[in-house]
Amino acid sequence: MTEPALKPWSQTDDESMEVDGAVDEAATDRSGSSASWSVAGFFSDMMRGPAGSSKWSSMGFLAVAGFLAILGAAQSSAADRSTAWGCAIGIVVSLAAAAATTAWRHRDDELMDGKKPRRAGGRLGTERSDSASSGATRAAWEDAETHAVNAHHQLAELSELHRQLTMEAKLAGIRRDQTEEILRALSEPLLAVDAFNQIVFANSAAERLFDFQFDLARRSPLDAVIKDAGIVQPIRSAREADARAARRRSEHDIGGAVYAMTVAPLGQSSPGDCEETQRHGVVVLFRDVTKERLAARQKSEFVAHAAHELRTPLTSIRAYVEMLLDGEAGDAGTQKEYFEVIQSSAERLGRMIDNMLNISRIEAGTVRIHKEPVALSMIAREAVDTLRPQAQSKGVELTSELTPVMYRVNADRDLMHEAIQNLLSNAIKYTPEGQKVHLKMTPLESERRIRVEVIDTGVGIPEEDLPRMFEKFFRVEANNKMAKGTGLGLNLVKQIVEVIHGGQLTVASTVGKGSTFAMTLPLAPS
Amino acid sequence: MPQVRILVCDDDAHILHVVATKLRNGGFEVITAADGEEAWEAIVDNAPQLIITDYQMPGLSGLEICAKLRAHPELRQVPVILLTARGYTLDDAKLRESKISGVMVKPFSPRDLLRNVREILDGSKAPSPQTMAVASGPVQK
Repeated sequence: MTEPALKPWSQTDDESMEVDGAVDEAATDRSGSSASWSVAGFFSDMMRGPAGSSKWSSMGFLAVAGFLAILGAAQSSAADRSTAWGCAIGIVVSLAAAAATTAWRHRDDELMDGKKPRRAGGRLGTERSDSASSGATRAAWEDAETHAVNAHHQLAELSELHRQLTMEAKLAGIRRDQTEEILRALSEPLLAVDAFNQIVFANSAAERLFDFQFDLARRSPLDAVIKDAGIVQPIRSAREADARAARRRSEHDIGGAVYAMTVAPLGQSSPGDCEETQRHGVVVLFRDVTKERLAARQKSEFVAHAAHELRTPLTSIRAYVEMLLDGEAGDAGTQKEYFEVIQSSAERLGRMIDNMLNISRIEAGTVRIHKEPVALSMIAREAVDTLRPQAQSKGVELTSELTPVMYRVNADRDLMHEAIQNLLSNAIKYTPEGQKVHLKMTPLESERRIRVEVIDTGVGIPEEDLPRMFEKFFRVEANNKMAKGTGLGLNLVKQIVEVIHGGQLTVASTVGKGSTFAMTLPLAPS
Repeated sequence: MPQVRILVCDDDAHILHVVATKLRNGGFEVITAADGEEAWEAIVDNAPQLIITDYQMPGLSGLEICAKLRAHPELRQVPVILLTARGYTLDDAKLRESKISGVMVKPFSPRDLLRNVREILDGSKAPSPQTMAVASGPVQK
């Protein structure tokens, strides 16, 4: 029989030492590997183990083996060899079965034991020294198993935790990338500067504005990228100020445009912040306000110019009233003259104010417009009739050529009347006595448009002044003596024709020969 | 006694007329001009003792006429009164430079103008431009 020696039921000291040795090995193996399945361990456990129900089948197989061994020994002297061999085989099989059964039961036990709270680690050695009894060894072995199981669980937990953290880190990374994408895509230039004056973020707009690349300039000092001390200084003082300070706003000229710069403190201190000196990071945002500044300046200039223009007729009114009051008018004829001056000045003042209001409202988009399909020839006829007295008193011939009523435009009656009236009035003013002013209407069927021209044989306009004719307050110097104007009439006409009615206004002129102002308007759909 | 000659220049016919009338009624001889060039010619031809001119005019402005006067050997001492709707924007340095004797801010009172003309010609009081402007102009500052 060549299998591992079948131990007799009684145990010898050698044997127990051997077994202890095996348990020692398990104890000193700190990794707590549960793999020290020495066969000696099996048998020692079986033999000394408590009669747990799980061990009954193993015991049973051993009993069979023992019986067969006795039978075989008894039979060995007999001539029947086959029986002896049969017993031997039987013994082997039984032993194997016992071993297998034990192993499986042991495994379940171990797993169940493993759920118990972990014992204070690594103390199996001290238990070993206590006694060589079967109880101590088994306890030590159980310790090792528990320890091993605990470790296995902790490892599993740590793995899971690691997996979760990795995933969260990934998500956080994705979120951060998304935020950076958003900031990068902002049309307003944005910079973030940390407590030590280093650039920690810049979006594409900032890169374009200051002509640098963030990837190359990351962590560079701010002044390496922005040369303008006027910009760097407010940023520095914002960094050094209280972290709770309000955001600061200033305006700067950069590359020909005007930018409003807002510097806001990054309230929470980050690892890079210097707590002792209370410096902290800031975020700097730029906004192009060039158009706003320009619009504001234009408005201011308009008001200044308007005020100036309004003073002129006002001066006449005041001066002539004073003369009358002081009795300096002399005779009734002079008095009448003075009254007329006062009256015409007041009228001029009123017209100026009306023009200004209209223009201002049109530009602001607040003018009340009521468009409807109107026969343009009707409006033109009315305007001509209104100006006839003025033309007559000046000795200017006023004629017109109107289209049939069927040609309609979508127009605001009052505004269109104002526009045509202005053109006629101008023409009469700048046309000397005996000359002509003619209003001509022409349908442009193929274009679905209609043209209205005011043609005069007056003083004409110098070529260099033509481009400026529709500017506010612009008056042709050369013709200054000829007539008084508000300088706003043509601007108003242009706004009415182009902005409100979607038409076009043009001027052509020759000095000494006359001028032609032409407006074209889309025909209303019939 | 020869009349004191004053030249008045303004591109607004009404203002030109009222100022000229007031001064004539006050006993002065008045020469009028409707623009800067006309004024300069009249100054050179007539050597007035005082010049009253509008500031903003097409062509030669009131200040430009002043500059020409100061550069002229015989005319540099002639006092000038400036009429302007923008009187309050003229800083004193500019006025001192051009040796402007006074500024009348439009709308002004012809009565005040006459008084100031007399004061300047008398030489008894040399009213500062500030005083003149405050006296006759609209509320400033």
